[in-house]
Formats: sequence, structure tokens, C-alpha cells
Amino acid sequence: MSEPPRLHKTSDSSLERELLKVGRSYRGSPRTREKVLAGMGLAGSAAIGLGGAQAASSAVLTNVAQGAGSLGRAALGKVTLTKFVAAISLVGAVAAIPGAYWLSKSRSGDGAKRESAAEQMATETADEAALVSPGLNPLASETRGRNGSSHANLTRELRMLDEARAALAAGNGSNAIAKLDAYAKAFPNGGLTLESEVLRIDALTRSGQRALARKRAEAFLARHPSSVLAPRVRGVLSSR
Amino acid sequence: MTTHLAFRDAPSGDDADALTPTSFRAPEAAKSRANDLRLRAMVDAHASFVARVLRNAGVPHADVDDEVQRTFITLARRLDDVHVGAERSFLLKTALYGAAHARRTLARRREVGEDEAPEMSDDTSSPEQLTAQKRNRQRLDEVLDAMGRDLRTVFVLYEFEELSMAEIAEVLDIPAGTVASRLRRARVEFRARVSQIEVESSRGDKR
Repeated sequence: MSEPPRLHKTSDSSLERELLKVGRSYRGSPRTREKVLAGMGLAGSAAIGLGGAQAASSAVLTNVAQGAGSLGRAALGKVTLTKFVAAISLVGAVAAIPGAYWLSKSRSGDGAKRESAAEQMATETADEAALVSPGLNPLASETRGRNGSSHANLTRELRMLDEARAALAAGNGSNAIAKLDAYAKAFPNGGLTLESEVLRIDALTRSGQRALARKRAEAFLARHPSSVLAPRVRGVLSSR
Repeated sequence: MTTHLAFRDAPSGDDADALTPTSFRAPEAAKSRANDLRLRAMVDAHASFVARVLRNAGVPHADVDDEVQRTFITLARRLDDVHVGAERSFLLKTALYGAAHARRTLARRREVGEDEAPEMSDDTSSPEQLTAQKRNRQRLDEVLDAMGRDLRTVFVLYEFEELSMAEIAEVLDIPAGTVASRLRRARVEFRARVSQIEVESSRGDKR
């Protein structure tokens, strides 16, 4: 099948080219990455800069990102596999609750067919939202009003949550709670408040305060039933 | 069927396929960290791509961050089901579905007159440039909104993301001939509406 040249290369209309440029150059907002990482329970430390092993691993991380993001390429050799293992070792040295930890809580069985996974999950998510909160975008509603948080503040917020996450990963739930308290004091109206609450629920659970954890989890689900973070909270509730 | 697509701004490299779960059997903890690493790499590599697809597919700028987050969380929840190297295709399908849902939500929200937050722009832009950018974004939204979902999706993937027709056919699970047909019609509509805007703009200038 012959591919026609892209319009932005051939159009003789300056307005067409301008509009196409607008569409091609959209970047989102500077805080997108931080929000996504926090929402998935992933530490943002790789980009914030921890130095040491983490810094040393950044180049390897890039290699892995490139490898994983390269679609439809030829299979790689042993060299990259070595890089991958090295990356895991280095990153593992920096304690953080793996996103996979959270995800394993909410992930359903492995029997689903790969080819329909995207549609299936998107359908589940959308249907859940529609059932619980018809007419509303749950994510938009929960984050609206948090937009005032500057990018610098968001980076600080993410760093504080990373510290709490690291404490939790080290098995010190009490320390994690203390760090979350510090976060709440520093950012009473922070942009990652919901993410911190989810982290707190897990910290409470791990530190033996299960009744309180359950109470906060139920309160969270009552207030944000269709939140994108709700499955994580349900996972905590159902797994303990 | 698992799609393996080359995208406009996909990172270069030829070493994805050996990172399959079957080729790397680590203990559970290591696997968990590997998934963590894989997800973070996906965010770094594809967050902008997902944001752009969502925005051009009809999600308002104010809602893009939330939809990007939702898209990646969907990937995370199904990470074990998604082949290494197929993440971008998975993200694209999920984003397109999310955009369709968000558009329906937006339609309801507009009925109650809710305003949309202004878009971010380059800090170095002058006020005049900012105004022009905002006006052109509004014009593009109008043109794309008038297209209809099927034509819009093909147009966005071909003209903005530079996917090939075969790739679009694979992602949308439609025949290649349908992609070509939709692209032709989308281009006709795009040019007609832009031309109309030019005429109206010209009339406005003469008044």
C-alpha cells in the first residue's frame, strides 16, 4: 500500500501547517510524569537525583527504556540482558515499594488473553467509573483544585513520598508514617494527597494498626470510589 | 495478536525482544523490581506520546494528566499480559479508549457550562505568540471535533504520530483499505474546514 506523504510536509496552506504543528507538538504538562509515577506507586527518585548507585544506574535505565520502547526490532543479545540485570541490581539498592507490589494487589488472574487486555481493562475502568459516579470524570474531579501545586512543589512532594516509601520498603512502617505525617504538615493541600493516603493505609497495615488502616481505607473508598487509586486500596483491604 | 509498532518518537534500539519474562527467571522480589523498572521506563519513554494522543483524540488539556495516569495504571495492572516491546501499542489502544470515554464525559460537562483550564505553553513565548498558539489550538480542536471519531483517530495517528497505514490497521483492527479510505475522507474534511476558517478570518480582517 502506498503511503501518501504527511500533510505537514506537503501542504501549501500556512494555516494547515500551523494547525498540524500544534497537534504534533503537544507536550502535556510538566507534572504529568510525577503524577503518573505517584499514581502507580513508583518512586520518582530516578529523575530527581539521589546520587550514588541511582545516578550510576541512570544510563542503564535509559538503555532499558530504549530497549523496552523499541517496538518490532530484532532480538537483542547477551550484552543488553547483562545491562538489564545490572539495572535491576542498582535500582534495587534504592529502596522503594515496587509498583509491582501495588499492582499485584489489584491485578486479576493471568488467564486473560493478551490481545484483548487493553480493551478489557479500559472497559473495566470506564465501566467502574460510570457505575459509581455517572456523569463525572472521577480523576478530573479528584484532582481538580490540586492544579495550583507548582512543578517545584510537586517534585518536593514526590521526594517526601519517596522517603516514606523507602522506609516502608525497609520494613519500618512507623518511620514511614512519621514521614507521611511530615508530608501532610508540609503540604496540607498537596498535589499528591490521595497518593500519600494510599501509602499511609499500607504503612498502617504493615505496622500492625490494621483496624485503623481498614477504617481509613473504607473512608478513602467512600470518598473516592471511582478513583484510579481505588483498586490499590481495595487490594490492601482484601489481601490482609 | 500482539502488535509491535514503530512510532514517530519511539526510542531507538534493537534489543527489546530478549527481555521476555521467559528469558529472565528471577526470584519474585527481583521480578517485582524488574516490573517497577519496566513501568518507570515506560513512563519516561511514552508519557508524552500518550498525552499527545489523548489531547488530539479529544481529551481537554485540563484532563490530560488524569487520563495519562489512568492509561499507565491500566498498563501496570496488566503488565504480565503485555509482551515486552508491545507496551506502546497497548498504551495507544488504552488511550484511544480512554479518550472516547473522556469525550462523552466532556459532552456532559459542557452541558453545565464548566470552563476548561488554559493550556501550558513554552515559557519563552511572547504574549502574542501565546495568543496565537491558543487560537490555533482552539481551531484545531474545532476542526478535529467536527470530524467524527473514526476519521479523527486515523487522521491523528497518521498525521501527528506518523504511524503507517498498516500499523493503524493493526491497532484499530480494521482492514488497511478502510484506513486509507478514512484518511482520504479525513484529509478532505480537514482541508475544507481549514479553508473555511481562512475565509472567515479573511472576512473578519476586512471589516
